[in-house]
Amino acid sequence: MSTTLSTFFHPKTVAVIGASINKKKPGNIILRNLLQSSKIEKVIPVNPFERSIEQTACISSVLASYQPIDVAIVAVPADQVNDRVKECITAHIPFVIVITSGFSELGTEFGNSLEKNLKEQISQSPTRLLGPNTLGYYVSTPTLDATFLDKSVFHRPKKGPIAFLSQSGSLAVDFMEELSSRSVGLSAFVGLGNKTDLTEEEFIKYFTGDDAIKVVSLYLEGFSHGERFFSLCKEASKQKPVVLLKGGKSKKGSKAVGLHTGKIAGDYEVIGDVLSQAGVFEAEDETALIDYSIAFALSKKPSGGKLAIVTNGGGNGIVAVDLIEQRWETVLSIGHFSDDLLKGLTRVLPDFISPGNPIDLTPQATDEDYVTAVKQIASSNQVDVILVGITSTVSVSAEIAKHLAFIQNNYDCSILVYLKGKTIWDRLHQSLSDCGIACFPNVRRAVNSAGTLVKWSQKESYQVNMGVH
Amino acid sequence: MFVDEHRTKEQLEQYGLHRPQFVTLNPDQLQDEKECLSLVENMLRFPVVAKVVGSDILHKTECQAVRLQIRSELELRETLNTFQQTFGDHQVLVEEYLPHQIEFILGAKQDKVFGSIVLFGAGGLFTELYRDVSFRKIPVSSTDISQMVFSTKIGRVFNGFRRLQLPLESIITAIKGIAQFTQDKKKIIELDVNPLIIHDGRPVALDASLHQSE
Repeated sequence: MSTTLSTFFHPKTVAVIGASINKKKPGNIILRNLLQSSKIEKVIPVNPFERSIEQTACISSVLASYQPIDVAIVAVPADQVNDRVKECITAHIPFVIVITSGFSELGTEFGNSLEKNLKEQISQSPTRLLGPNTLGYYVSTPTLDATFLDKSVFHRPKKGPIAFLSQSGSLAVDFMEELSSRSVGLSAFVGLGNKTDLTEEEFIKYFTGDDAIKVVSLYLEGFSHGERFFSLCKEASKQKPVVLLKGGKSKKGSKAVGLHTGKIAGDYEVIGDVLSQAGVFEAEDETALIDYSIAFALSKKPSGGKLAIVTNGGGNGIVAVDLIEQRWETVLSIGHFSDDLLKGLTRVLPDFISPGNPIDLTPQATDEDYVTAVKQIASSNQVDVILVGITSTVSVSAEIAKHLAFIQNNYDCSILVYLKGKTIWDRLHQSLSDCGIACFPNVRRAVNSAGTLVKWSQKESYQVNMGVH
Repeated sequence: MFVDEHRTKEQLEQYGLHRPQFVTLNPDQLQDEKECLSLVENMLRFPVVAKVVGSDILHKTECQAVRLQIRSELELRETLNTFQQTFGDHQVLVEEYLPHQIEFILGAKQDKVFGSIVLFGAGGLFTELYRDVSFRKIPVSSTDISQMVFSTKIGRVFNGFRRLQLPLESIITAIKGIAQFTQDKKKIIELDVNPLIIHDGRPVALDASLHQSE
C-alpha cells in the first residue's frame, strides 16, 4: 500500500463515503465535483441505502469494493466517522479525507474524545488522514476537485504555479476565488482542517520537491511542531518563496518568569522574527497573502531594489514614493536617472512631458508612450523594478500587456502594474496576468508587493552587502 | 531557580562577554569596614558601582539594591552601611563604572513553539517601553545575527550613526556567545544581559540574570 503523497494528489479511484442523493448535502456536492474531475478514473459513491447516486452505482461499504481505492472521502455525521475510518483502514485505503466537522474544533468533551479516538486508530495504521473538519483539496488540470462546495459558490482557478495550504476553509475559498478573478493559476490547494494526522509538514515537503510549483502559500493558525516547521521552511525557501499568513498571534507574553526577555518576547514578535530567519515572507493580512503570492508567481526575481515609477497621473506617483520612504526605506529606493537616459526620454516622448523619476506621462499617455518610456528605462540598466501606474483612461489598451511582458522577458528588470479605477482594471487586468505581469488594484498593494519581491532578491545578497562572512 | 549576577557573569565570561573590574565583599568581610575599603581601593578606580547580590533580588533598581557613580571612599562607606542595614547578610559586588553612550539588551529563553531563541535590542531601564528588539532561533549564523541587529533601530549604530560607529564584530561575538551558552547549559529557562555595552570595542555585561531549572 502506497502512502506517498503522490497517490494523494494523483489518485485513480476515489470513494465518497456518505454520498447523498440530496443535492444540497456535502456528500452529494463532493461526489458531483469528483465526477467532473478529469484526473480520476473512477468515482465510487458509498451508501448502504441507495443503488445509485448521480447515475453512478453505489456500494454499501468500502469493504465491498472489488477494486483498490486510493482515496476515500468521509462525509458522514461525526459520531459515525470513526466506524467508517476503521473500514477504510481494513480495506487498506492509503488516504482518508474527513470533511465532517464536530471534532476538537468545538472545544467540547465529546468532540475532543471523538478526535482522540480517530487519532489513535490512524496512528496505529499505515493509512493517512486529512482533517477532520476540512474543506477538502483541489488539484488543477487534470482536475481533482475534492471540495464540498458547489462550483456556483466559488470559481476554480486555472492551472498555475501557486500551491496553497490552509487551516481555514473560508480563507481558502477567498484565496481561490481571488486567484481565479485575477486570472492567476493554482497548482494545488489542501485544506488542513484539524491536522489530526497529516499536517502542513508533509505538504510543504511535497510542494518543495514539485518543480511545477513556484510559490508555496500558507494560512496557518498554529504549527504542529515549531522547530520542524522552521527547518522545513528554511529548506523550502532556498528553492522557492514561501508566503505565510499566521492567524492568531497572541500578544500574551510568558507569565511564568520575571526577567525582561520573557516580558518582551510576546508570541507575535518572536514568530515574525523567527519566520523571517527561516526565509518565510510573512503577509500582514489575507489581501497581502494573495498579492505577494501573485507577485512571486508572475514576476521575475529583481536584481536589486532600485525602482522607477511610470504613471499617467502625478499624484499616484507621489503617493508611491511616500509609501516607499515610509515602509520600504531599507529595501526600495527611487532610482537616479542619468543625463543620457533623461535626454533619451526627452527625445522619444511628447514635448509636454518632462522626464524624471517618477515620470508622469500625463493622462493623454498612450500604449506607445508607456512602452517607449518603460523600454528606455529598462534598457538603460539603471533600475531593477519598474512600477507602471495606469489611472482610468481610454488611451491605454489591453495590448500594452504583451509589450510590457516582452520588456520584462528581455531586460534585467521586473515590472509591476497598478491599475487605478474599476473601468481600467476590468479592461486590462486579465491581459496583464495572462502575459505574466503582476497587477494590483491600488498603489499601496503594488508598492508592498514590489518591496516583498525585492526582499526575496536581497536574501542571498545580504551577506555580501553587510560584509558578513 | 535564579542565579545571581556575579555567578551569571562568571559563566558568561567564558563565552566572550566581558565584565568590568570587580571586587566581591562577603557578609563577614562587610563587618570589617576598613578591610572592605582598602580591598576596593587596591583593586578598583573610582567611580565605582555597588550592588547587593542574591538570587532573591531580581530587579535591583526597584528595590534600591544598586548604587551607581560612587565617587569617593566616603560615598562607598555610606552605601555599604545602607546595604547592610537594608539587606543584612548579602554579598556586595563592587565594580568599576564604565562610561558608555548606548545600552543594549541580550537575552535568551525557551520559546514554547520554536525552542531556544536569542534576543537583541535597545537595553537599559526602558527596554520594555521602547520594545526595539529582534529575536532569532538558536543556532544562529553570522548572517542571522547581522539581519537581527540591523532589523532594529538601535542596531544601526553598528553601521555608523552620526559620529558613532561600534564594531559589528563585537555584537556578533556577544550574541554568538549567548547562543552557545544557551545550547551548552541545557537548563536555561531565561537569561537577561541588560545592560550590555561595547567598551573599547569589546562586549561588556554590566548586569546579568539567569533563570534555570533546578
